[in-house]
Amino acid sequence: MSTGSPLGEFEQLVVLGVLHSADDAYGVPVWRAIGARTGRDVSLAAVYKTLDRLEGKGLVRSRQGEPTAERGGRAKRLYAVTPSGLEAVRTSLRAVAQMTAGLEEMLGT
Amino acid sequence: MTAPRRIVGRLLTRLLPPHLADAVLGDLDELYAAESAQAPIRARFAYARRVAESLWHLGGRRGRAQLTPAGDAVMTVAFSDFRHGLRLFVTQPTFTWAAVVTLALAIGANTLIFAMADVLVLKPLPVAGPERLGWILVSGPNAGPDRAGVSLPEFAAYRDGVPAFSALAARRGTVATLRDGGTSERVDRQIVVGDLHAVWGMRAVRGRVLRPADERSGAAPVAVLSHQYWQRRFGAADSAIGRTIFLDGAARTVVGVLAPEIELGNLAEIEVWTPLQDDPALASRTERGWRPTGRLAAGAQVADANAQVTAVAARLAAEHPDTSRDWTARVGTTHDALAGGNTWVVLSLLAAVVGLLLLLACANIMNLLIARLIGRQRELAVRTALGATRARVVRQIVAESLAIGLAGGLGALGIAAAGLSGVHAMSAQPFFQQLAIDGRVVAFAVVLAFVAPLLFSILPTLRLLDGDVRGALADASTRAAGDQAAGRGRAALVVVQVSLAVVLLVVATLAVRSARAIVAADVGYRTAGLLSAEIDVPAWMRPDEAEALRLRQALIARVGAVPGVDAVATASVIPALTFASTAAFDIAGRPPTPRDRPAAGVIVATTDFFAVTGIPIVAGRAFERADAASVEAVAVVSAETARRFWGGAPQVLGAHLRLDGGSGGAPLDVTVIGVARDTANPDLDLAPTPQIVLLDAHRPARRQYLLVRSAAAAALAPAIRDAFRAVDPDLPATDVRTVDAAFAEEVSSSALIGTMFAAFGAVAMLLATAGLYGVMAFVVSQRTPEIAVRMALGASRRDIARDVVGRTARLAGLGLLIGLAAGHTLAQAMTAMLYGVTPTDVPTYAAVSALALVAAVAAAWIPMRRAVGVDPIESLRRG
Repeated sequence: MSTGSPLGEFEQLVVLGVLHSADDAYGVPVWRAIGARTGRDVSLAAVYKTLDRLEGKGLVRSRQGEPTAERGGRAKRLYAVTPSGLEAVRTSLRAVAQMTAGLEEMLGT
Repeated sequence: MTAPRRIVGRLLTRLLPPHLADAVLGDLDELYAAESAQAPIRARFAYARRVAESLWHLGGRRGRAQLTPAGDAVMTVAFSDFRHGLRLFVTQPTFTWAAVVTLALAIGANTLIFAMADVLVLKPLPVAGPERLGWILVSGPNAGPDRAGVSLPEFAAYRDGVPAFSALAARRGTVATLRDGGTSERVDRQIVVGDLHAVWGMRAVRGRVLRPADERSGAAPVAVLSHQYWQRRFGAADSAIGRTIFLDGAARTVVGVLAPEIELGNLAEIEVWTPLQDDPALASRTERGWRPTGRLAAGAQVADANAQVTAVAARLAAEHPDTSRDWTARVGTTHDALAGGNTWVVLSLLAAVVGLLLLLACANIMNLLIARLIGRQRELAVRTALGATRARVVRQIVAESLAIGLAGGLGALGIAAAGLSGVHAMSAQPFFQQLAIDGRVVAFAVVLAFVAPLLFSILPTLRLLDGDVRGALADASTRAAGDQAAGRGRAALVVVQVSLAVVLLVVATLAVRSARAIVAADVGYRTAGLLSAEIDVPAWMRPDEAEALRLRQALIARVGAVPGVDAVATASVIPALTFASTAAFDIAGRPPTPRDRPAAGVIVATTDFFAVTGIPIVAGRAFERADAASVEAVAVVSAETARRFWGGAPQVLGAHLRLDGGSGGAPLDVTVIGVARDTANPDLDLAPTPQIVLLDAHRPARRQYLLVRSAAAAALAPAIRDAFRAVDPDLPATDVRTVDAAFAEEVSSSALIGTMFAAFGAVAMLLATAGLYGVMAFVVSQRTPEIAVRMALGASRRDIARDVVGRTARLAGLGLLIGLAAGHTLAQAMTAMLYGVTPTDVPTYAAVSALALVAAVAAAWIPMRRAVGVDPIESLRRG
């Protein structure tokens, strides 16, 4: 999938969020990771919508988790980044890095 | 929160993609559980927001390549259509908002009128079996039609002479002073004769209702409280039962509290109910304050009761010509009794007006939809060609319409709420104060929000289903200004819009003119700078008439000494506002006419009455101080009295007459010393009636009005209240207000209804003009290439203008004729509510016609100007 279309900005955040949430990557932790690290007030539904789209592109995959009582007996959907997902996010980040090289002073990074 | 969450769960399960529903719901629950431990309320809001977001982002999205059961598919597709409809607010803001505002105005007007109708017609009546009740409504001289009651002796005659009623009871409103513990206050009291509470089917929430046994002489004196008074005065305490209160100085035991359902309209103001017990003052044949209600006997109909009551009234008039001549009675239904005949006329008209307004709004939106649809024809054709089913396209239009309808309904509730607060501000009358937006009113607005979209989307949809949309690809390129059928449809739309607007304008203009005439009616004296207050010296406070007179004189002296007061008097009426009680008289030197005696309204007043009110004396003189001191009674009669019984003012001066005593009192011989100008009849529909003004010193009256003339009348109220307290702490100052304010309240209903009609008329005109403009702008834009060709071939602008505007004017003329005819028919139905203007008022019809034609021509002129200004080559190229 390395030749596929580059990831959108929010898609990058979601993929990185899944990576941050490691073994327990379902909606809430991914959503929390994005909110905590970027300070952006994103909606949980937007996270799911993006995850669903990424899964359609084969960049993430999901499986059903265990139901718990605090979730009203409903199962989690646990996401993991596929190898092509990892490749896609690398490509995107590399593109950004290459584009920002030499502009560090101007961008203050 | 559990129940709503269960519903949300079911909703999301249906609307979210199946593979995500459980995960999302679980996450929502998890977040809610975590957050509600810290901030429960905020957690709820966050939960609701997330549900909405989930629906927005994920709703209606079928699973990727996953098959879903048919039911879910329908729901999800419907939802995504609806979401598409909502998106219109962003993608097509002008069209969408124009449609929403139009619809909100129309539904808002309908909702407002529904709130009125709801209170009057639709709410369950607070009486048991209202269709089995008959209400005796009395008409007579000096009282408006159906507005009078009966006297106690007449009540007895009806009770015994109308077998169609199984039970007859009556009530009489009065004001009483209620003392409980240390404080006393004025209360609205109802005296009951017969088993009224049972006839009405009223129940008690504490203790019991009144029973006929309470009326028996020797029975323990009791009182029943209204629910609102029990709450306000006794804090809804059970201990109120069995308590002793003092009503007009007499001890009574509270035995019950009525259920609150009865507190509707004027009945909402009642505070205390008592049975009638040996009150000779109330037993006179001229005390017509009793309002009887009968329960129909098994098998009897209102018509039977009506025939019997009419017969009894005729018999009473024959047997007691002095007091009952010219008095008639009929039996009305519960609805008749709740509101006068005019109320129904006004309400039906308002309902008709707002109904037409809604049609007009729907016609406008429909036109916008069609124009937009034709604009989209190519796109739709492409989509159908690419495989979109026609049903899907239609569904989208319906969904868009529903989104517009729902947004319009929401806006309508806001408009209705704003309208209601305006209504509350304009009239303090209990009926208007009672109007509120309750669940039923909201439900009504919601129903309209669903029905209106059907009205305006059905035609465009049918057209779409009818016509071969794929064929439109070809059509669109030839652009024959829409096909001929569409042209005819638009012509019909112009005619309908103009005629609807004209009907609404005719009705609105007549109503507004009538309301203005009522508000501006000349009452016959100077009401500005006049303050009034009720002064009622009850017998229990001053048993002796002379003492009561001295109390009033003391009050007049004290008020007269207040700085800024120019003159003070008391009178038994506020002229042109309250009715005088009638008395028959004989004229000295003429043979007595027992069957047809002269009668006039008797006003009891003090010396300065004419100086204070400013009613001009047209012959003879006004009262002087010496008149009150003299034992010889004198009178000033109204011009109508002189004209009717003496043939003119000069002849009446010096005449002697013998006036019947009121309430069984002795007759009074008086000499006429002057003639005063007529004041208006309090019932503005009627001509002034004969009036005779007597002095308080010669014919005292316990219930009068204090009238104060002052340049600063409005500011005097506190000083007047102090003066009442100073002469007797038990003497309550009631209804202290300027006479102008009293008149304003009296006509506030008329002013309010006039304002409503004016507002609806203005909205109708606005909608119609906007709609016409929309139609014409579209027609002209479709014809722009044709116009360009004609101009290129040498047609002048004037030719084009004549053609375009002339065609519109002809259609508008047709609409105008239809509208005028329909408006005239409606106006005939309005006759009863019109004052000072006839249903065939020529200026009204002329003004409406001119306005409608000008608006129609302007609506065609503006787009036409734009079209002829276009460069022909450019226009053809675009075509």
